[in-house]
Amino acid sequence: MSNQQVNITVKNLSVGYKKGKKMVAIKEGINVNAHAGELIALIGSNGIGKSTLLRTLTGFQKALGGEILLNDRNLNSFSIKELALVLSFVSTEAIRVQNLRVWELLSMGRYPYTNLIGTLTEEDNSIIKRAIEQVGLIGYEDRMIDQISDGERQRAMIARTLVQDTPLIILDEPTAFLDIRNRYEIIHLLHDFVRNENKTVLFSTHDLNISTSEVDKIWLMLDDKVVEGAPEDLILAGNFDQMFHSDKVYFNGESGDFMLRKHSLGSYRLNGHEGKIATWTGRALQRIGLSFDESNPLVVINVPIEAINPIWKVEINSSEKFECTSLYELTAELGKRLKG
Amino acid sequence: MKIQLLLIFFLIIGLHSCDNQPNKKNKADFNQYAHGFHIVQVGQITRLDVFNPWENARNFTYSYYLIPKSIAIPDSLVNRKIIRTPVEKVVVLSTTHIGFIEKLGFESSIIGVSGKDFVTNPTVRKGIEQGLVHDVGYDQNLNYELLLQMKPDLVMAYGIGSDVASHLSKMNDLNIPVVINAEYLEETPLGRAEWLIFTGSFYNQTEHAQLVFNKIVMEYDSLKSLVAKSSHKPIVLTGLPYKDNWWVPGGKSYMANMIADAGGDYLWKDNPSRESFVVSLESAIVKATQAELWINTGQTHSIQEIMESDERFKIIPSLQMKMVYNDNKQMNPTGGNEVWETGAANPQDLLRDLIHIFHPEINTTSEFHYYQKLN
Amino acid sequence: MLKNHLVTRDFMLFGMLILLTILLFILDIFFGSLLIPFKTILQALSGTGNVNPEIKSIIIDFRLPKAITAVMAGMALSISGLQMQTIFRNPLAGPYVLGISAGASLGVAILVLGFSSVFTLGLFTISGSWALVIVAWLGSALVLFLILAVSVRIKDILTILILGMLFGSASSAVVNILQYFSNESMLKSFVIWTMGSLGSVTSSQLNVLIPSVLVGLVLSFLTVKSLDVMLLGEQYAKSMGLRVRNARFLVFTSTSILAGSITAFCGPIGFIGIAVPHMGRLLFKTARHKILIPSSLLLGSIVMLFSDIVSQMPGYESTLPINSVTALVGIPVIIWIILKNRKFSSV
Repeated sequence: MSNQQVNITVKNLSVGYKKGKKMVAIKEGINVNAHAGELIALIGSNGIGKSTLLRTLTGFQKALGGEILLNDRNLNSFSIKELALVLSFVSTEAIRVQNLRVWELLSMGRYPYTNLIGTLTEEDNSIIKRAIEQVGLIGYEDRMIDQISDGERQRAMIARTLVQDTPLIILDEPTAFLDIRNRYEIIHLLHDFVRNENKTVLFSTHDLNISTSEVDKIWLMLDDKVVEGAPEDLILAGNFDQMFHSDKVYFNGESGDFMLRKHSLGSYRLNGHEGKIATWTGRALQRIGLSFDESNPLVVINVPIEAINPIWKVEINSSEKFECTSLYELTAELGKRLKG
Repeated sequence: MKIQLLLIFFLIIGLHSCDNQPNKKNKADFNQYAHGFHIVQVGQITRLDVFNPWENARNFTYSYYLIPKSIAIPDSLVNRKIIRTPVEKVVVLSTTHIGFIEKLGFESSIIGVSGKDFVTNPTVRKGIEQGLVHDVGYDQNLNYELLLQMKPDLVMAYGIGSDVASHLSKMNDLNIPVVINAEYLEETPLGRAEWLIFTGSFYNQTEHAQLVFNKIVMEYDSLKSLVAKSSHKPIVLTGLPYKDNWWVPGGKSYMANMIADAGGDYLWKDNPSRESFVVSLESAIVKATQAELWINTGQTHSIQEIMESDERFKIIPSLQMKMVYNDNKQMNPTGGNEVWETGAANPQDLLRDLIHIFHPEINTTSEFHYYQKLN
Repeated sequence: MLKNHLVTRDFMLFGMLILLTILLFILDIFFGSLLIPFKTILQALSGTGNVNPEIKSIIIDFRLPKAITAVMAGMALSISGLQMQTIFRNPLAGPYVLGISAGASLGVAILVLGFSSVFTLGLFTISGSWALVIVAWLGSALVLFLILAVSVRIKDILTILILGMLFGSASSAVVNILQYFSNESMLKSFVIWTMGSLGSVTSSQLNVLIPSVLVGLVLSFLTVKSLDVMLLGEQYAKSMGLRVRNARFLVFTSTSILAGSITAFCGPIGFIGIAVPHMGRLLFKTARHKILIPSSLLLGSIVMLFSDIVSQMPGYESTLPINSVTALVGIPVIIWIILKNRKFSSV
């Protein structure tokens, strides 16, 4: 099983739910792919259907139309047992079981492989041991899962999927409720599975920063369609702009961030070297509502050369002049003078 | 004349204070055998006191005033419990009451019963079939509307617990004349039968009732004396268990006294209680092995049925020897057993049967009335 | 692998529980209304010596079947309670949440209270005590059938729980109606049935009770793996390869056979099914059913035997109804669970 690879092909898929006899489609005509050895992030606003899509891909919900193929085989043709050997899943549900040790939780992942009463073989035990190492939970084997931190518990749940030894792992918002450090650790783990074991890992997330910088592919769910591509492809294509309905927010293609539109305070130009200081000075100015204008700027700033004891020299409208020693001072001062 | 007037005067004063109040005299023996009631005659008015009319009642008396229909109700008694006599339309809530009324010959006065399936008296059954006698229901679902429509002169009730007071007060509110008949609380057979006189007073037949009762006493006592000569008293087992508990009559209960009077040795005769109590199956079986006779085996009609209820009874000697007698010889097709109806009013018949069981050599009868030997 | 000391600890605990079970079994035969010397008991059981036939019958026909019944009841109710707690992820679930005992009560009520003209005192004599067993079992079977039919159509396990409780309530409502229209002696018979009794099961009845409990237990052993993965919820269980619908069928059938058989022969006995699994969890500090099932078997026997001994009221002529004793034993345990579980809501 560990050597198997899985590609996902989604053709003209419609997902939704049944209300009595009526079928309510949440998304239709989805066409996306995932290849073996890829880390894919599923991104979209809340309520747009990410969980529904994931639940349809895992077989919990029936598709309303179209097909899902795993290695060219229709998902529906898999029996529950067969599917468990191919696909493992981590949901958003918090597991609250008492008296369950980490080792015991992981050993459940061997369910598709063990006998009638679930006896663990030597091989099973070594797989579990390896999974514990991979997620960095050595020493946690006998700890109760309700007595470890959220991050550790999440890692244990992911370790369980490793124990289940499937070529495809699907996770629903695995980094929700985790702190920054834990978030990166989880993504790092997923990265490892993908790179070292050629697994296909699909996860949904709200975390754009991580997604745009760490994943191989993004499936972006918008109101009317689902687009896929490398993060950079989608940025260049301007797809992220379509995520928000409001014109108060826009996607800044340069920085790769979502930003609030500011009330315009004017324009600026920077003098001095290009580099980190210049870049971040520019960002600070944009933050308070100034926009870059080479030709006829309102504000001209001399960017300091060094980061140690920096001094910014500011000239407004060729008349007012002042100096600042930090970008905080700079933005505060400009804000005061330009608004008034 | 003056003295009588004075007596009446004092009595009326006394009646005001005595009604429904703690009565210290309720344990006194006003009657020959019965403890539960007392009749006082004041001119044409009869006062009936019923003491502690349900189990666990203490210091509680109901007083009823029986006033002939021909005279007016005196002002002093307007708020009392009044029955107009003689009663002509009677509703009885227990089939035992039928037995008393029938013994005095007034069964045609019965217009209502509780649980028509259990009635065995032929006249009353005929009345039920013809729709002249109605079923007014049980305890919690008494059909008050039907009672109102029937306009009885008397409803004879009984109460297992103090909750009966609520039924009574409801009937009082509806101006339905109701009395409690607490005959079943008497622990002696003759005491229970003496309630014939209580019953008779509603028909203005107190003297007739007294005569009937005297005859019963004579028969009963003479039967009793027959056994006094016997030296051997057979050991007697009674009842049938519910699951693994066996309810048996207390050592001072009606049944225990009846057995003693019939010259039997009741297994639990030393128990001090008047009421039934529970014995574990194990204790009962051990005691049962001492018994020569087994009586009152519930609803069984044959040895086979007893064995089917619990095969382990096979070790009981009286069962092995087929010395088992049950008092369900007279049963009507709908499940009524005559012993519940007429037994209390005819203790002499019960005694005769029992003596014949315990002491067949005395040969009191050629045929059992209530009892039958099980095969 | 789990640390060795944990495994050793488990073995020792099991050893102690087995010893305790045997001890209580012996004590249960020893205690009764009658004081029988231990030597006599041994003689009666082994068939040697010169034992009074009545005493022998007391021991062989009354006390021994009662002790065996206690063990059967303890095992059956505890296992079915454990299964219900896991499948519904509810620590307060018990063997009767599906309405099994309510169904049995309905069957018994119809027999005892419904045929008023034929049954008054001593109802068990008409066609024997077997009639009671049969109608109780039919009642439970009816409820099982309804539950299975429902669980095919309904995905959400909570809905099935609620429906089970509603079936139970509906049965109770009908029973109440029957009670309302009954007279005292019929009511008394019925009420005494509801108090539960271990001592009225005869040896020939054990010949039916034991096999049916064993069938139920065997089915429950087959559910060990399924129950373990169901701890995480049915969604996870399915993702790990469990055929949820089949698992439900197996669990419900096993529970119904176990709880239904006991209720049919002994009447409804409460609290054991809820409390004992928690004792096992507490003692072994595990959620794995490979451990919890055997521990429930042993602890269930122990608690039931203990309750039976207490209900004997050794030395007194009368006995206590078994349900009161199991309540007195079980309720403190349940209260403790509730207080302990304030933080977490599922098993």
